[in-house]
Amino acid sequence: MSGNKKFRVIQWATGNVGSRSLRMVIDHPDYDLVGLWVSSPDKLGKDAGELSGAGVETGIKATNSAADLIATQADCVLYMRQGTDIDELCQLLASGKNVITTRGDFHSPRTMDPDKRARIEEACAKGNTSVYSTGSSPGFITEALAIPMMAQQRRHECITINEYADMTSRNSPEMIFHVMGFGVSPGQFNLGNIQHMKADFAGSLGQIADAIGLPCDEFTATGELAAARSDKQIAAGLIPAGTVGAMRITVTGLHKGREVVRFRAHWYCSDDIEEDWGLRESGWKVVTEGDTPMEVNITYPVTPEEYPLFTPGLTAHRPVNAIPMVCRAAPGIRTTVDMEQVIPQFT
Amino acid sequence: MSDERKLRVVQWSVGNIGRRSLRSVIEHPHMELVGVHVTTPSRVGLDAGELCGLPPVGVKATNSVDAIIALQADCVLYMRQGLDVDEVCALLASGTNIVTTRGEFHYPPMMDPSFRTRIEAACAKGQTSIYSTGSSPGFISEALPIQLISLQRRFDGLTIIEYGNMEMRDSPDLIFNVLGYGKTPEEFDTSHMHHLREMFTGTLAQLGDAIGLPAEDFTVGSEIALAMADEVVVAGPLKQGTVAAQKITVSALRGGKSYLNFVGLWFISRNIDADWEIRDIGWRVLVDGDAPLDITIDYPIAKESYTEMTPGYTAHRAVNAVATVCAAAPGIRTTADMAQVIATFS
Repeated sequence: MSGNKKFRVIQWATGNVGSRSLRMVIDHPDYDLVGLWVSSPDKLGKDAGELSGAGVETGIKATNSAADLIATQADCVLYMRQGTDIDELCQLLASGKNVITTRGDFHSPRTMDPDKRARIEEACAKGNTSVYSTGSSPGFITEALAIPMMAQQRRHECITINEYADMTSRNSPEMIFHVMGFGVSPGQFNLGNIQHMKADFAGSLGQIADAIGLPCDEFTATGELAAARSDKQIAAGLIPAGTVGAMRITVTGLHKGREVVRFRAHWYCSDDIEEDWGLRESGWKVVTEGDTPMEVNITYPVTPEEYPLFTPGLTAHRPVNAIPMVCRAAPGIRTTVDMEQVIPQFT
Repeated sequence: MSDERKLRVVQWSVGNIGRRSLRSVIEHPHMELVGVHVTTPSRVGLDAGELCGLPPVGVKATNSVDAIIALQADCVLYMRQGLDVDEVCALLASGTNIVTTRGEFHYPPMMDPSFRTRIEAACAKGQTSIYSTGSSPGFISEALPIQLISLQRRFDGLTIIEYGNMEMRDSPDLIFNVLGYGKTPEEFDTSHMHHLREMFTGTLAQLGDAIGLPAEDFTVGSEIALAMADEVVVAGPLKQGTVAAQKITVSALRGGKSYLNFVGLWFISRNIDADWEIRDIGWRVLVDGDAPLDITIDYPIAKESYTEMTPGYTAHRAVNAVATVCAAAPGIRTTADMAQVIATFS
């Protein structure tokens, strides 16, 4: 890439993942940061270098004016805000800027709301641009890694993507006890959380099921709670015996009544539970069942202290690395299965 | 895909991997088996189904290269011992793509220049492609690492450890003569490690180029571990203090430092004088970078099934690659420069 012109990039939002993404864009030898959108008034007017901790002055000041950025020439926008604003995305795409987003709206164009899909595709046609949803999960684990694993088989029964989140070192009592519901008597699973997970993952699971010729005509989602068998002291406080120590949500895609793709997220404060959930340290376990099955276990060799510094990158790096591929791709809504592989460049 | 015509495919050779591949082609919803090439005279004329334990399919095996070329197939799955340049070039030039489990095409710049020129000329003439793949090298050294590295913005290194469990290998000559098990440390000779170097430098070089960190040099080294006690393995007796396990490491280097490593950890006993993690089968992959990952890959199958099932892990990726290779730009294709291999199951 050296010697070629740089990709002009706009970073859209600076939350946890967005800040990491911004920093990576500033540091990237092949990218030029040309714009930064922020929502928070305290960040307005600040230099992107300062906001990202890059320790350099970029000359790019944060703005909350989408209109200004839509008018700014760029090759790609890294769209990492809360909420998906379709109007704004259409304007960005129609203006000639590709979009890569950690928002999960574009994993399965086929099953999108038809009006939304049509508007986005029209904007892409007008701007000769592409939009791509990616990240760590969904994205890396449910698409990028799943594809070569499934290519090891000639008879596919099911692929199960398990995700494990060990909450024992997280010193966030509000999140753990009040938002997530650990440490209370097991009651009904929060249906909202189940629906959210289904909405977040059905698209990605549907994408890979379509790609392997086993399209899903139905998705189910269930939530389960498991009580701790003994008292457990965690960083955030105490999980008394008999209260919720672990939980999991399963989203499954069925093809003609047969389960073919599954995502299962586990969160736990205690792994001493009755149920045989196979809880293990944070990370993923992807299992293919079929004629030549495989089990891939992924863990993160980082200390609990390093963990919060490491996780934003796990989500942010793939979108940053995808810029050249998405810019080259055919216009429209792109997915991992219909695009070239995302291969980072390190010089 | 159901509206498109089936790909017309030839199976070349029916060894362990070839038989598994042949079966997969016959059973594939989007492929039509149009030919089988064999060299063993007793197999000529046999039905393809018969050759892989299926009912007859009406395609008879031939040992004629010309007969195969005349089929004008879309693709040959080339899985023979040795590579015949003339026959490969004839196939490519005639308009037939090749997917092979032979390892010659993982990194074109390392090929013998005249060999490479001949192959590329044949591809240009026939507007065809050739692709080397399999389980290792292939899946473990290209397809999987590319995805793992896509999570990094700073890449420090990748190490793949492959577990070669030879406890049940009933080949005394291979075990005690070729691989040097049972020898004393002084007697142990590392000449066999160069074969692993040949097998893996290309695939590591491909990966290095793909991520903008081309390899500058390669090394191969070995470490041994000795049996803690006398024992008897399937291949024969093993004396205490003799070689019971070995690690052969092929490394790609930049700036004198290794950054891409393939380690063959082979063993006939686990009761050794070294603290090595030993797994039955599969791999451990370690990615160093700003999103570090520690990965273990296992085959959840019974040990008794290894011999029967392991050829599939090599054959299936090759079969699944046929459609991608047929659609690819002409020339020698690699995992890094081609569209993804995506299996289709109906």
